[in-house]
Amino acid sequence: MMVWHIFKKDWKLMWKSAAVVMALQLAYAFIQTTSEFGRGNPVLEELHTLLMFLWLIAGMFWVVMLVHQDALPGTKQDWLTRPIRRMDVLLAKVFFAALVMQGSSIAGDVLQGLGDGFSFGHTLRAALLRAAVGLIAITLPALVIGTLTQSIAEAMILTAVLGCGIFVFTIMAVAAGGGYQHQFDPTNNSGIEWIPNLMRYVIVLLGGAAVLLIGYRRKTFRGRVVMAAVLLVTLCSQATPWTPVFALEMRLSPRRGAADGIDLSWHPHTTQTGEPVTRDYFDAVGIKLESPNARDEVRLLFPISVTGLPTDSVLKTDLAHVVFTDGNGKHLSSTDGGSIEIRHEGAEGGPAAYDQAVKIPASTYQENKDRQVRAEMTYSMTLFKLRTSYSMPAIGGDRMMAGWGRCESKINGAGTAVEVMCLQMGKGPTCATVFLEDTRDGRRNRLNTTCFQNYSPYIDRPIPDAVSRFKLVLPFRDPTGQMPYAVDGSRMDMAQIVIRVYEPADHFTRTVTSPLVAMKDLAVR
Amino acid sequence: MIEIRNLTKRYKNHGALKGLSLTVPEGSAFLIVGANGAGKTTMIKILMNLLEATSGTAEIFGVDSRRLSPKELERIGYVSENQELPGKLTVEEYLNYLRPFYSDWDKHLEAETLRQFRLPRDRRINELSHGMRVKLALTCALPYRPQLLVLDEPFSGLDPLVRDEFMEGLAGYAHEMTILMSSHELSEVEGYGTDVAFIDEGTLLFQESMEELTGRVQEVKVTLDRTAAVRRPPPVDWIDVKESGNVLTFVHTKFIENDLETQIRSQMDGVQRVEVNAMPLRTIFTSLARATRK
Repeated sequence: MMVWHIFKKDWKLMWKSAAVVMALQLAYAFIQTTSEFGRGNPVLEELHTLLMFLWLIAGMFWVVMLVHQDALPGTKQDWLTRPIRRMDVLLAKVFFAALVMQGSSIAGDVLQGLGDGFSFGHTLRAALLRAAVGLIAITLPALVIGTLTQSIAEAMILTAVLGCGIFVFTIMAVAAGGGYQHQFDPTNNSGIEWIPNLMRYVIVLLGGAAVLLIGYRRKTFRGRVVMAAVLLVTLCSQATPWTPVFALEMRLSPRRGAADGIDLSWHPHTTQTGEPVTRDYFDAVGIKLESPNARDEVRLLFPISVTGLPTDSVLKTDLAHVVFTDGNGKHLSSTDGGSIEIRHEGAEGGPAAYDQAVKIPASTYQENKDRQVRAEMTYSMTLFKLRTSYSMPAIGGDRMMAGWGRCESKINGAGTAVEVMCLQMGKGPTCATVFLEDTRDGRRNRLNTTCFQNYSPYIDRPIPDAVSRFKLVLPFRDPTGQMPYAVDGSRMDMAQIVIRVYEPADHFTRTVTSPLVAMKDLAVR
Repeated sequence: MIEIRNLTKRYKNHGALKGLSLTVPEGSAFLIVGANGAGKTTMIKILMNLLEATSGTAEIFGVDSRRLSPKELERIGYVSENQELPGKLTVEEYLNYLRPFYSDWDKHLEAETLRQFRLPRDRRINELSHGMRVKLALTCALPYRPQLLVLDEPFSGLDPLVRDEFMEGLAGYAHEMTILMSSHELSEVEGYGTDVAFIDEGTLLFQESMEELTGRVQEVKVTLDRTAAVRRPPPVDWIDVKESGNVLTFVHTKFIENDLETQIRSQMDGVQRVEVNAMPLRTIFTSLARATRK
């Protein structure tokens, strides 16, 4: 009852500024909706980024000002001497802040989702999930800062201090990891990153709630100490090791045991090809190399055989960790292995023998090239199974595909490829194989595997909106004339894009140990 | 009604309160007087749970001030010179906001106080003058008929007219409540209190009823037939001793009419005339404060 009464007082004082914050979000949503699929005016496209930034900053300022209407630190506020329950004030503030920030984000997402042709139910679910993330990641921190300060200037100083703290921590953490973010944050940019992210959201939610309760008991100093501790724990949570996080992801596998039949083993026949190894070679065997021209690194090839891959499946590495030991078991070096992607789609792919490329520092190689080494490769992998297939015209296609999203197709400006621009409300799809096919005779171009490795069950970002956008590029003409295409420009009017959607079925680990072998015999010639 | 025991408040470099103890009896109009920085406001803010004490306790209605709940706050009115009211609300809106928090809000009393103070209902609070804001604060503190009214330097910065209006507004209800009022301007509060406490540099000099104080502290003027010279040291109860020609003046802090002449004659010869004058509160305070600091 009193919560509502306090809310009405705040509404009277702040409805105009609240309307401005909400209008920023709705303006963003409107401009974004009208400019999807590259239809927008370039000026407006710039504007919507600005609007989102403004909404974020203005919204956080607004929440701080809302809390300051009944500020807690200080000794002059009339309300503190009144029989007003502080819990009622807190609830009124949380309700109003959520109404403005999350209400506007939900309204904006629904506007976008319906405008993009998605169903109301699907749109609302995605909007609510994003709103929940935004409540924790944006609104709650603003409420906390408002609770621990009594003026905007003080709030800005506190925010600046926190920002500096985060910056210094990050610099020190990256430096401690040898200059690589990945060393400190092992799950960064991986499919399982959502688990530490979720953990961080839980820490922020619980820690933020604790700080609010402490703040509303007017223990400002204690609140600031707890806030700093929560921030530190949140930052340190980035260092969560890979193994327990992947173990949890394994337990969450949608079809546990689906990969039980898959076996990886050392298969020495494939290493020494006798041919100079070029980038085309790696492409041909399905190995993706990062920075192939790096001169301070030496690539080693590990002959691996994969068996037991089910049909209509894709196998991808989430992490490959390689440890070199000598004949006595003494540790020599360890490094991250490269990515592996093997597909078994109908008659294509299947049981495979391939060379896994591993990069090691040139200095390590020089020290050990004549030694007999043993390599132990520990793989964290995901098996994707075919869920469904869709097709759409290669030119002028516009189709809503429930498990994939809404896509439009067109030929790119250079006339060399079909571009497919897609939207999905909420989290986008994880993996697909796509190709161009001639509907008359079934000719196909080479199949592309497109995976966005993110196993999160929901969209876990608070901004800019609840829409996932992704793009496929299907080439059909090589301007140099070197690469022939079965479905080329002359067949485009009868061509269709086939999208075969794969979903993660099982997450699992495998370990492959090599026999003792001279390191120089593994090096790429 | 109010019980303060060994209250200490330390800031970084100085102690604002140094073991202050004080009792405010129910039904009294209790004046807390002291110079600027004596610790009056600090004490009141601790009492209202706006500040946390370093040590010691302050109780209102038998409840530790740190644990004052809405139940107790509903029985306390608080007016301070620098109270922050929600400036963007109008007078009417703020009263509308406050009303539901009190179970016993008297709308007639509210209307009467507004009329008496000539407060414009539709004016925004931040558009009111300082004096009007103080009167509004009192208007917001009276309609629920608090058992305790705490006034912290309410007259600071007010012109005499507004001050008189304020006190007239208060006068009608003073008998219903206990009043605790602090002031550094003694001439403003003289005549309003039943009890008084002197605070100086964070410590209590003394606390007693106004009647006892004005009775026991008197100015004495002795005319002699020779040059005035009191024996050294003078009695401890005599302070501010001044000799000028054949006239000796002092402040007697334990004045008893029947004993005075005997006491004076034991100190000096040639007494021709003794005059005893009542002292204004301001002079009592300054004399006592000076003597304490010596």
